[in-house]
Amino acid sequence: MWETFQIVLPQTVLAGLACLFILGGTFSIPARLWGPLALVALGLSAGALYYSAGVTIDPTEPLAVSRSALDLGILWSCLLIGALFVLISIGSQSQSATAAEFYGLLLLLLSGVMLVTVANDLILLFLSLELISVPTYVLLYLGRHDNASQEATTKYFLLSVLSAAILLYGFAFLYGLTGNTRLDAIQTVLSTTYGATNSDTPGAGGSPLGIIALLLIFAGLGFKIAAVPFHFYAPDVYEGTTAFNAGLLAVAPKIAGFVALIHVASYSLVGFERTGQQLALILAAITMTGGNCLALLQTNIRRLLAYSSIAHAGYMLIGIAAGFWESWNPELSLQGASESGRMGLPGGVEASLLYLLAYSLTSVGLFGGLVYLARPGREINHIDELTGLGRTQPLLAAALAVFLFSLAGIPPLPGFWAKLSVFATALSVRQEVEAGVYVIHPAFLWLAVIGVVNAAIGGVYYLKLIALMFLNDPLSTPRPGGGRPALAGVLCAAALVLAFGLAPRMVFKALASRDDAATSANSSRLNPGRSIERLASQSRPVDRP
Amino acid sequence: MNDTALLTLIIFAPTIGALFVALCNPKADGRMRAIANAASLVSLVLSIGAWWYKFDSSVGGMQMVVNHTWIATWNVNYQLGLDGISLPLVLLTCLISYLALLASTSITKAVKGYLILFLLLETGMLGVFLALDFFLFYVFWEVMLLPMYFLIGVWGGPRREYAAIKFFLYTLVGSVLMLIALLMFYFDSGGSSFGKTFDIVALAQIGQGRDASYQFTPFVQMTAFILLFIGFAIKVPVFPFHTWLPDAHVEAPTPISMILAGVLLKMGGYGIIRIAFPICPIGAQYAAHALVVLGVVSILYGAFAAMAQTDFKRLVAYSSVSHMGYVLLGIAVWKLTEGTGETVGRDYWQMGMNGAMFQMIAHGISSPGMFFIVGVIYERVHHRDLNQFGGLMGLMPLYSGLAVGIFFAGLGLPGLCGFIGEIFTVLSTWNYNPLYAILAASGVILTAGYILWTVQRVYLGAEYKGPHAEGITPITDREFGIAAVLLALCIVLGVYPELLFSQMRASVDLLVDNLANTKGLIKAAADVTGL
Repeated sequence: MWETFQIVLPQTVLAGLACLFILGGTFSIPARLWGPLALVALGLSAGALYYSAGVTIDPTEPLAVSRSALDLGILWSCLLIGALFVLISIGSQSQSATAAEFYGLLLLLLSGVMLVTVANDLILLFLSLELISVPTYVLLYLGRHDNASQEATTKYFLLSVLSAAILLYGFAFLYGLTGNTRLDAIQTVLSTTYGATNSDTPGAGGSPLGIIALLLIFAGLGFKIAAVPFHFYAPDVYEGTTAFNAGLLAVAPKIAGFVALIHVASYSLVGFERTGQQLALILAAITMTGGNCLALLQTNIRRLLAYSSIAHAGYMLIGIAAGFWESWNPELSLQGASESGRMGLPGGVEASLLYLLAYSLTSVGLFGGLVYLARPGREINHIDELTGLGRTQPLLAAALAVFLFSLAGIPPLPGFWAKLSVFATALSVRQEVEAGVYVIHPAFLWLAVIGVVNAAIGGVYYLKLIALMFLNDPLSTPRPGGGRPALAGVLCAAALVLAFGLAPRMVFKALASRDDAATSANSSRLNPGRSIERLASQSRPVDRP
Repeated sequence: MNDTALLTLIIFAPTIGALFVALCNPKADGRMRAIANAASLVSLVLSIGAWWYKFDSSVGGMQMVVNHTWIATWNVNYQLGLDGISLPLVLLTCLISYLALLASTSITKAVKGYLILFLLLETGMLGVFLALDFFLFYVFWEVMLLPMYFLIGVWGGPRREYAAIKFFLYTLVGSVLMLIALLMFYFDSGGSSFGKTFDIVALAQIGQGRDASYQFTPFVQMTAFILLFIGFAIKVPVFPFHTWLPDAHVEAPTPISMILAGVLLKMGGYGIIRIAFPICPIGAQYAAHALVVLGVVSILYGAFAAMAQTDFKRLVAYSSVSHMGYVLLGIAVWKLTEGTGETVGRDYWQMGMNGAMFQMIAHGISSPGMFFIVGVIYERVHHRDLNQFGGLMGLMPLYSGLAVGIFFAGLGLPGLCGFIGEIFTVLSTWNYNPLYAILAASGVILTAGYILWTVQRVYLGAEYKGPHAEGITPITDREFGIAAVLLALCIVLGVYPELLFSQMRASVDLLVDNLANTKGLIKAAADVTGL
């Protein structure tokens, strides 16, 4: 029981300090202090995380939280990305009358994302997702005060509530199927009934209840990750709000949505992998294609980036689809297990998380650049406003070019390693055509082809922006209003992106060791379908990252 | 000097130069150019040294192989090597890069950025030709893409932005298709005795059935061949994937046009010879006929299109499409009997392969020469309209002499380098199908047509008809030097082709033998495709 409090300590620290921030807003404390204070709050939370990183959980004890080594990596990444968000907003909030509320809500939202990562219970998971949504509504409202902004906020609010209801309905079916709300218990119940080793038709599932639950969960979380066809809000909301809020929407719900999807659907819904695989596959294909094709038509920069963020959700779903396949084909899965002393490759789920990390870092930087360029009450709207930035703001333009090339997937930037990983997991999927003969799964081959064609389509609009910045003469001299901290935040993000890109070995190594740890006996979040083989063959000590 | 240091320095000497240029004061024009020239010269000298002292032309396989772990997780290695197929291309790349850098004096805008990008481009190109690891090959392939995009986009002509984006996107489409093939090989090689690998030599053994435990299935080979071929065909360029080329070549500044025509197009041909054919022989044998047809169409289409141009540079650009058609033709004339899968006239195919390689080098010398010639006159009169020249022979006799020599080399005049490659490929095509040989040979006549017509309109005639007549000055010593080196090579290779053939014969021989002896061609393949 005590471990629960230790595990959620970083989140508690954040949420508690967030309340103090909101209370402190009623006192006359200078607005420029709140940004640095928020960084201090994140530092305290990081200290708490460092303290709680050593806590291990007894897997037999029924707790509402759990945390694998992989989750720990996500938590650290969340804090890092949160710090970058605070950094880029310091300048624009330094004069704001609502700075305290702004940072309070930002911290609350961040603690929500971090709670999603450790939630081991459907109810806690749902509440943490709401802890992200509610501050978002207010933040959207705080950002701008015009008709477009109000429309965007209302739209986001209504659709978010609808999606939460759908998700909750899915959770209800899951509870009905298993009689439990804890994820590890659900997993145990399902794997004894439908698991790959206990079933004649592995992955096909016997109960329609599970399939309905899976569908509803995909629909509910599809809103969070902005997957087509649940994406309709994204372009309007991004366009109708500030660059900072748009960046936050592009990153925070995406992280939370994917982590929740992985924890619930990929890890816990054992026995329904075939349905999950098909769903993820179709969603991936239409999300990539829809997002990229529509992004081609955009001239509003935030709208364009909204469609681009939709498209990237599609690439991440490729890894999810491959992860489902790995789950019901543990012995066929070429990924993972160590081979002749080499470290394991990332599996499908790990590849998605790698993509998520690459995407999040890049997006923070990209939207941070827009925050830096904006002036109070005057956002960068049309892409033409970036014209000639290479001449007028060379440093910022170079950083933005790094982000855009990374999103386009040009080696050796993180976007490339991420795309490579997800395509690799898709192409590692095998199908048995006759006894003992395996060929590349045609559906996944097609998915990979669609994926790379999309990467090329994506290249068109990213390159359009780069061409605007570097190949054209400036139309006017921009007067950036974001302040030096914003520029520093953008450059930090660029440095991180470059480091990640040039030393991918570090990230792959971390993922591989997390992968081992996630499947070793000490972790509470087991995935029997995938890990039974490996458990038998290896029992390594958990690496403390 | 050990092989690791030698090959690494050949590739990365330009990058080191770029670092030094980056540290220079942007105003110190002369110093930056000197550093860049020196860096490029280091690569050239080292590659000639590697050829002269280390390369053994009697060995068909890879030489000077270097192998170090790069990304252990993926089994990616820093693996380099040379053989008779890559060595001439490495030498060509170093030479053309050096000459193009010398020709870059006409670039005066943002010289620092230009030189840095140029040197990075050279590293990318050399890396592509030296890499023996498919992943490394892919990374170098993409590394070359970004500098080229900016070089065209920033320093190019009036429509540079359009041309740069078009170039980038075409190449990106090709390279992402290559990425799928790369990953397919990687995972499919898991069953072989090599384990999952990106090693091009090992993959070729698996594809040709020379590996004891596994051979790529016909399905994999055919799928991968199509993906790879589209990727490389865009680069060559083969009709109908060629439309980026006239725009990119025309808009690029002269030195970059020289690089594009001289080296970048060769990367497509090299990819087909080094990767697509050896790793997917079963895919290749099914596609051979289509490839031959595409080659012939490229030859004829390029020639007709060139004939219709009024822009001097565009004409040269289309002539590249036509000349590179011979390369594809020579590679693809692989004739197999129906049913048994025996290679018919193996020696003819080898001749075609040799001709294709020779044509790559010959075109890599004559085409940059032609672009340089166009650049020289464009700098003086600032237009390229073929109908507004004339009489240059009288005004610039030395320049015109060099120009006519280089154009005749492109035309394929016996005694100059263009002739050998064309005649070899056309002769070997006769064995494949006389009709295609006749069509391909008629391309030679068309080429003669547009080149002679061009020479007549530009250099002959009584007087110069265009604007800026006052700008016409005799060529400088530097310009003379660059053109003279290229013309001299055209003549040497034309008179003594053995110089080149002797270096690549053993490797081409080995390649053709291996491909002809591939397990599971046609008949056996037909049984397995029932999958």
